[in-house]
Amino acid sequence: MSFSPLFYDFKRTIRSKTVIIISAVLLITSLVFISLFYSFSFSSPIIRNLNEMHILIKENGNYSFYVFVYNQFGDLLQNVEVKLKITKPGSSEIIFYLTNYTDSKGIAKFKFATKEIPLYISFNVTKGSDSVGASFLFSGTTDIYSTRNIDFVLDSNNPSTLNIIAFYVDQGGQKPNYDVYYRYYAFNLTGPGSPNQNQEKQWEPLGKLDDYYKLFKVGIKIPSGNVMLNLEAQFKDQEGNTKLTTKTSLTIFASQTIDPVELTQSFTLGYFATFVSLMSILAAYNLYGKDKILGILDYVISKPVTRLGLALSRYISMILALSFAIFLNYLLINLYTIYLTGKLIPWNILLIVTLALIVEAAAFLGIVLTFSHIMKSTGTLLGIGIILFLVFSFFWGTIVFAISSALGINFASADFIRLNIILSYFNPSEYPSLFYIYILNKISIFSGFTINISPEEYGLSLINLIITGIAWIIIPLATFLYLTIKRD
Amino acid sequence: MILKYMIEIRELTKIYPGNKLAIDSVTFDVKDGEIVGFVGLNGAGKTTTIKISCGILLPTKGTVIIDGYDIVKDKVEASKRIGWLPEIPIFDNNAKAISLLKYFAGFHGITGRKAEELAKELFKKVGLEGFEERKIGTYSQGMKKRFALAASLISDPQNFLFDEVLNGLDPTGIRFFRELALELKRNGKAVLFSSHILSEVENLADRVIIIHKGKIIKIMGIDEIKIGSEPVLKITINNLNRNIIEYLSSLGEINIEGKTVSLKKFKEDPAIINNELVKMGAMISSFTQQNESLEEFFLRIIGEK
Repeated sequence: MSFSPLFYDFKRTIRSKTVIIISAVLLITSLVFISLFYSFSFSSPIIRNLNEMHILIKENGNYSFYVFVYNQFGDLLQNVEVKLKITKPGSSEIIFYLTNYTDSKGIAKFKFATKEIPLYISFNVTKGSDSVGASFLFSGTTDIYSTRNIDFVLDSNNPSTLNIIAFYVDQGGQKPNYDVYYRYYAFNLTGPGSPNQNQEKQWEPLGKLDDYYKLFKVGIKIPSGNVMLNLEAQFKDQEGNTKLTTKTSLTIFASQTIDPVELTQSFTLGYFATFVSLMSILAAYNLYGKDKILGILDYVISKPVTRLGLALSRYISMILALSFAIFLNYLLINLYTIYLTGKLIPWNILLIVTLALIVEAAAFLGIVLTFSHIMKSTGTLLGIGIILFLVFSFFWGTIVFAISSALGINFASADFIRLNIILSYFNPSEYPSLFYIYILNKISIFSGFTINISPEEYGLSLINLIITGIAWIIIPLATFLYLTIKRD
Repeated sequence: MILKYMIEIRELTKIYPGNKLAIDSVTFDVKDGEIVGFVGLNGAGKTTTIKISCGILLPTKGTVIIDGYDIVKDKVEASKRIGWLPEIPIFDNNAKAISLLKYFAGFHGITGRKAEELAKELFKKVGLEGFEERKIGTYSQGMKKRFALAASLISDPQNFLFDEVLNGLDPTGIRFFRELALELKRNGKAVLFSSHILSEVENLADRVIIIHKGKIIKIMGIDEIKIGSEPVLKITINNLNRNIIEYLSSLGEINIEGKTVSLKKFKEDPAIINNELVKMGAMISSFTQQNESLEEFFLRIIGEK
């Protein structure tokens, strides 16, 4: 026997309506969902497209007001209109109303003189339909006033990380010359911790600020979840004296961040694993089970091939074709995610998830092939396939809840997580999820609700996963082959 | 020519789940250059015997040896030497005919250009030229049988097992398979074929094996059937009347179809019977002595008539 029958069966599987239709539905719906999710998430970006930092300098009754305008990546914006209004506090009487545009350095400069004090200063920066502004009360007790001189901006090459931009103008409109130090702390808005923990952090050098503004590429990874990032900076002169301490904060909500790993995870855990089980069940039914029950295989077995040889040939060709379809779908979805987010997905996660999905496909394939040798009608076999799909892929969550209720386990307890993981070992559809839990140290209990866990504490180890994967491949396959050889 | 037993079936027994005995200790041979008819009622065990002989079913007991190779123990070698034609060939309807034929050729180690050329040659041989690119689902039952025949000819095997091959065929199809069986015989192949059309079996077979309720009840040559069967007088009388019928009834068993009377188990000399009928005024248009047909012989043997 040559390899041509194997190749024929491979082509037959990959060209089958089952694999093509399910792959197409999976691919199209996944791309649509990812696009929707992406557009929804970025409708409220972490950092706005239009930002400003300002500074007011008082010199002998003359004032200089500088507004520095930049985008979300820290690129300066030229020719942006800035309107400045100065009024007396508690009054609508306008002292000055000035308009200017940002220059080639992204700075709009205003000069005015008044003896009035205090002053209520407000300004507005407008670019297209976007605008940003601020207002503050200047009491005149300091010569230089600014609310903040540092800010977070996105890294244009890797938008999942943050850089820091600093802006300062010295007396007389001189460029600054300071060594800048910084420290930051991520405060989990929904978890334990104190927003003041920044005090425990050491200052780290950021770089030298020797121009009005400077972008420091520090590449701080945007944390996931609902988080407030607190940033502090010190401007030190050449003698090491602290000239200025400034701070800013950035609040990040989980819905604003797209982590491609998380995104891939959400599809792998539910959507993708569900489709893979359906594809495997229907492929096994259409390309072997039906052939076996209807007698199509009879003619093939009359050819010079053993029962074992034919069964293995069909199994291998189907698993190769399904693996190819899974890999292709998964790759395309991930490439699209990379295209949208600009973020690379770690290759080890891609590889492990693909392998886990292939194990899932092999398990369902083996189970349905086994039933092909037990059932006597195509209707019963299809019914078994549908039941397998419903139990393992559709109602599994409900089954886990039912079992935990029967055992009196609280849904919010560690025992519930343990039960969830233990039961997942008995469901090939959950196999990719187990790998994800192991890799990411997270478990999704309720839809969209993720908990950080230590997998080892819940009996989830690499060796257990490998043994389970081998068992899910070998046991159904061995049963199928045994029945093929021993049963008509 | 030295005759060898190419298909040797020994003590073949098959019990299906539920303790249903399908065949019981079936033993027979088919030699090179021989056409053997395999006849029996529905459910007698013909298809089970043939399917076991092709390696499709596993025997409960007994052996099938094809050119010296056991169909169970040496499946691949034995299968290389068999061409099987099922009663109702079932193939993947979505498959393109030529692709499927090349797929089957792959099991014989024939691939690529060689498989393509062979497939086209076989399509021509079985009368399916021009239908190579069609899907099997578009084929009629007769075309599927021709396709199955093409598939069974891929490796030019020495032995052929045809199961109810004439069922559902039109007269041209029946003639095609009749001529094919004779051609195979001329080429020294061993052919076992089962059929309900006993007249065809009678015309084609060198020997007949009768199976009934899973057991072989008779194996004999066609000539032996003719010798061993009872003679029948077939008399066509234009003015058939009660007197003539009563006379013929007194001689043996009669069966009347129109103006023709078949007389069996008679002891009188046919010439004397003829003379007596003439004396009675019978206008005889035909008076022949025949042997039993295979059908009559078969029905008598199995006790159905």
